[in-house]
Amino acid sequence: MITISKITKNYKSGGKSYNALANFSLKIKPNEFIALLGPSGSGKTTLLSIIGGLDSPTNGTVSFKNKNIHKLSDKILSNYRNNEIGFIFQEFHLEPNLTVLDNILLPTHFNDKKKNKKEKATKLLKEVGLFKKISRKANELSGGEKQRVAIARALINDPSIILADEPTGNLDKETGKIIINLLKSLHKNHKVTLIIATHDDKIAKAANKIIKL
Amino acid sequence: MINLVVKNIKENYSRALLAGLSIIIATAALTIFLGLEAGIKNATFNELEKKSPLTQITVRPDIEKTGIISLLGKSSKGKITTDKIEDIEKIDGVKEIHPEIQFNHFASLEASIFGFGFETDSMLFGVPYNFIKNDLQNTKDWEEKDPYPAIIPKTLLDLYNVTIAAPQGLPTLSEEGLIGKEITLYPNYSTFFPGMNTKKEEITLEVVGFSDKVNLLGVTLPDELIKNLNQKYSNNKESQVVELFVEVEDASLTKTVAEKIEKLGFSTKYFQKNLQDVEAKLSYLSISLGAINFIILLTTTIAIISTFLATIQERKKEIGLLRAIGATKFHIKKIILTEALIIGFLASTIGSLSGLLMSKVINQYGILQLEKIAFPSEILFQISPQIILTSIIFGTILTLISVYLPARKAANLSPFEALKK
Repeated sequence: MITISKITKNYKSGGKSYNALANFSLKIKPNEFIALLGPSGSGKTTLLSIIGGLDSPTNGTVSFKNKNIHKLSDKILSNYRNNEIGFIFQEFHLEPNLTVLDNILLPTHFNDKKKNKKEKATKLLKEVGLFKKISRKANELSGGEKQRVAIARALINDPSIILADEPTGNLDKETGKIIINLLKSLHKNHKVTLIIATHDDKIAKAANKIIKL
Repeated sequence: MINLVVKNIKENYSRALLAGLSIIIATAALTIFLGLEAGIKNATFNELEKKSPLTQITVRPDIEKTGIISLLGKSSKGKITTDKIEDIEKIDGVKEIHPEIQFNHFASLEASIFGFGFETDSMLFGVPYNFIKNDLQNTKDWEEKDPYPAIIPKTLLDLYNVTIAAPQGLPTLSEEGLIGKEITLYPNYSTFFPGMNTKKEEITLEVVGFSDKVNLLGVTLPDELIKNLNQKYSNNKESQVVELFVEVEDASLTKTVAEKIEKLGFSTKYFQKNLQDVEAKLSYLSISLGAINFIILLTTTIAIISTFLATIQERKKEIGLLRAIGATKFHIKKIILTEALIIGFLASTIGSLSGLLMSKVINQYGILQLEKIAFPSEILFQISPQIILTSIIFGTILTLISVYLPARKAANLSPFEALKK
């Protein structure tokens, strides 16, 4: 489904060049659960951003369904992010003043999938166990609850890939465990490819494949 | 989408308020300036039209062609004679002719105002009733005798109020206060040269109106009185017509009739002829007001741009998230420009209405001031619905143009960089 061929990512900062990824290649099949394991600064977030079309590699290609995503126009690339990718961030990135429901529905504003979107959001909220807080504002939720909302938001457009960047990084151990289990069950139920970036061996073990960076 | 826009405005209300305030100030200023320009233009044109209606042509001897010597002499060359008046009467489109005559000797006026006695020399002009009837403020007949009706130039009154009363701290004169006032006329007598003649005759005049139609330099009296005085003091000499007021049937004929009169050897003055000159002079006013407004609008543009740039800097992560979940560059621009549209429209509406309110207050205060110094009491600001609408549209468009640059900057943010910690 996704083919990453010999990608390199260099950053320039303060006149110096930093190498975040060097000649990295990977083939991702549908419905895989992959953990990208590595310490801070190893290039996990960079790799997820390149796969998700938020950033482009210095060299090499990333192909989704045989199309080099970094050659796509802004409109088609945005469409790829909207329909094929679901992002989950360590910092949740919810809109604090929007309700739980509105946060989940946010990605639907940028496509034509308007039909039954509320019903779908409600169903996802039930799946993540947060239905009772549907009308609460995001800033009224706990960290674990915020991440559940972010997970539901990532799934609202039925993506084929979920990219989770340290999804438990801002949560306590117990809540982190619950979130990982939730992601596992959603991966199974929604038949979605799940790629988690983590520095925690225990979390990585939950995946079918571990890629060390 | 609109949910998101409203939420953004609410979240960034302090910055929205800041941008809004600049727009309010700019549109209020724009409304006031446009209203002031319209007010001054209208007042000027109204005054002009009062002095010289669209259907009126003032005819005078053409000094450039005839020469002053000839006019003062006995020759009829260039003078407005009965024959010439008849020629003018024959021109197509001429409705009525009102000759203006002048008393050929010195004349002195004496009046008592606020307990002070005033005595001054004045020129005396005579016109027929038909010409002056609209300026008579009471029903007193123009043919009345003892006291004879008199019309004072408005400008003379204004001149006294501005140049004498105001600086000297003397009471100002109003039209209402002077109507019915009796003035004593001493024909063939000069207060400036008292040795030349004595006060042989005393004629009582009564102020019956004010007008700048006839002559700004003297008092206008019934033409019969002037004729009689000229006969008496000039050994039966006929009164010389100094000016003609020609009324045409329709304003569209004014120019054609005037050109035909000019061909008879006279100079003409009419509203349409002066209009271009006045418009050119008023355009300086428009340019000056426009320049002040431009500076205000430029400052507002800078304020809006910097406010929105700062807002975008603060909202980097939010923009990054929107890009991550599928917003295109166009979506980002659309969201920010919709915010600008709402802020711009609301602020422009508030600004325009504030301008209207302020102008009403200034009008109220201004009119009181104007009355004190006896300027024409036209409304200084004339804010029409079109001006309000123009200000709202202009304010909204200005906001959109100003925000376009920050919106483009936001749209071009790298989502990866924007989402960074």
